[in-house]
Amino acid sequence: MNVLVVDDSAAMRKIIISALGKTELRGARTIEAATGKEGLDKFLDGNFGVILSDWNMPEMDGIEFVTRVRKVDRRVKIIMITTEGTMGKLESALDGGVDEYVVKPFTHETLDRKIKKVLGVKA
Amino acid sequence: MKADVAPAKLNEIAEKVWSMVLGLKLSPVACDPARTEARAFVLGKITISGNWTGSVTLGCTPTLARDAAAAMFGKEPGETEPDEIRDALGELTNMVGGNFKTLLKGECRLSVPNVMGTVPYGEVVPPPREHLWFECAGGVVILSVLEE
Repeated sequence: MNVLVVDDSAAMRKIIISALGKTELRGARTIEAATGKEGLDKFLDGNFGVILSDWNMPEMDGIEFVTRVRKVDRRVKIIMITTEGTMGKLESALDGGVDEYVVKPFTHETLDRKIKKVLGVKA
Repeated sequence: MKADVAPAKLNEIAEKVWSMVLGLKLSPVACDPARTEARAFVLGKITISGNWTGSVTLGCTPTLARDAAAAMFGKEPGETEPDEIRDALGELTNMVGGNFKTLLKGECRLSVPNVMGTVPYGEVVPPPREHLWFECAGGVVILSVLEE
């Protein structure tokens, strides 16, 4: 499976990809994007099963990115990785097409639990 | 409106971020301008606007900022690039600021973080004495919340 990791912080992308190696997605091919626009371009050019996206990014934020992805693909599983821990914000993300969210900072166990949930894998 | 967030809660946020992201322990200490390692800080700032308007500033002494970047990028400290140190401190600021924002009442928006590079002690805004101070791995971390 291909996994798209969208975050404007290279450090955070590194942390996410490292954590993925300890989850259900270990061994998956990961593709990085540093902006929402780059993420959208790579998504349209590729075949992804899961997207992990930051929310707070310059120019195109995570919600706009997800909205644009959802206009062309309803099946890809999207997990938002965010510091936006308030219920109202998280509910608006879920309404906007996000399947699950992980609040930063996170453990690889939390990420694994959310990945298994969106993939329908029993924990 | 006042943020109405106890310093203990800020301590908790900073300690959680440091522990979970870097695997390092932050220990609250009193402000001590005489500390030789605290002559300059790499400073990150993030602003919050909406029902509460202000900013969160996070600073690390340069060696600690380099060590934090090394931990986040999985490198040796001597191999880190200046851009990686800025990126790492920006993300740490984002996490601390974002977690602080969740404690605020009402609708608020978070900016993207801005890292100002290494700032001499006397030019840090707000002044270091108005920050919470922490000791970590031989360095100093400072954290402030400033209402505008």
